[in-house]
Amino acid sequence: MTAVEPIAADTERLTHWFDQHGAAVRGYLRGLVRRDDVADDITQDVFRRAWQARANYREQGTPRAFLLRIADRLVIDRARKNRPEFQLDEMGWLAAEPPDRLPTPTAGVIEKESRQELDTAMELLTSSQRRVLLLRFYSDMSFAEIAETLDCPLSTALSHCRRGLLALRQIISE
Amino acid sequence: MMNESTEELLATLEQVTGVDAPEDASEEVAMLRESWLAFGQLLDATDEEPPQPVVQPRSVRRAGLPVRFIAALAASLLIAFGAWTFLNRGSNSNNPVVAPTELRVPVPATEDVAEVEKPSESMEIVDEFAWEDSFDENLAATSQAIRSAQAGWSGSNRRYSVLLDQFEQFDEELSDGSL
Repeated sequence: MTAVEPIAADTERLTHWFDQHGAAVRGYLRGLVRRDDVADDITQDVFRRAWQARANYREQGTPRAFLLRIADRLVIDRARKNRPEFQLDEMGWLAAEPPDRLPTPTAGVIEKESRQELDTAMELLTSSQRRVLLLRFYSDMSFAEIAETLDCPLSTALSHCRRGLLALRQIISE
Repeated sequence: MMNESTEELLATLEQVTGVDAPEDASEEVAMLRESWLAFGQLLDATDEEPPQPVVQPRSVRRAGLPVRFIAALAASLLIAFGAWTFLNRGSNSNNPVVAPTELRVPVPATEDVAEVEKPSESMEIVDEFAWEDSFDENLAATSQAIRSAQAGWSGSNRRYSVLLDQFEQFDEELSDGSL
C-alpha cells in the first residue's frame, strides 16, 4: 500500500464529513456566536483542525460529535482570546469582531425574521444553556457526552437543558 | 453513580429531545417538548450551507514538491554557472575589467570647513575595488602590458595611416589627371 492511499482516504472522509455535517457545524456555531461571518470563519477552522487531527481520530464517537467538539473548543478559545474575562453570555461578538461583510442578498425577509427570532431566543439563554441545547440538537451526543464536552457533571448539563427549555417558553407564548 | 433525581431528569429530557414524539407524555414533558420543537424550527429555518473550506490536502502539496525542487536546482545551477563564468573571465580574459574609480575627499582632522571645500590640493584616487595581493599585482602588470601593446599597435597603425594617406593622394591625382 502506498502512502498516497491513506491520504486519499482521509481526503475522501473529510469531504464526506463536510457534506454530511458542514451545515450542522455551521448552525451550531451560528447559534453560539450569532454572527454569520464569524460562524463561517470558525467553520473553516473546524475542518482545518479536523484535517490536522485526522491521525488522532480513532473512530471514537461519531464524526459529527468529533467536529462539534472542535467547534465548541474553538468558540471558547476565540472568546477568551478576544477578551480574557469575556463571558459567552455577554459576549458581544459585534464589539469584539466587527462584521467584515454585509448580509448576503439571498437573505430574504422571511429568513431575516427567522434570524431575528432565533437571536431573540438565544438572548433568553445563558451560554451554558445555549451550548447544551445546540449540542443536543445538532449532534447525536448523549447527555453524558455533552457533559463531558462542557467539562461539567451530568446533573449540571441536564439542569442547563431543562432551564433553557423553560426559558424558551417565552418565545412560544409571544 | 447517578442519583434518583438525575436519573429521572435524564429520562424526561431524553423523551423531550428525542426524535420520536413521546407516548403518554407527562404535562412537563409535553411543555418542554413544545419549546424544543419551536427551538428546532428556528434553527432549521436559519440553517445555511457553509462555504467550502479551503483545505489543501497534503497529497497536493507533495505533488508540488518536485516542481519546487527542480526550480531550486535550476536556480542553483544558474548561479553556479554565472559565478564560474565571472571567475573564469576575471582570470583568463585579455580585456581586464577596469575597476571604477571614485574621487574621494579625505576629511581633514581639523573642523575647518573651508579646507574641505578646496579639494584640488588633497584629492587622491581611491579604488574601492582594489585589494592587496599578488593577483592584484598580476592584474596591474597585465593591464600595463596591454596598454603598452596598444601603444605599439597605435604606432604601427600610424605608419599604416601615412601609407594609406599616400595611396589616397595618389588615387586623387590619378582621377584628376594631374599625374
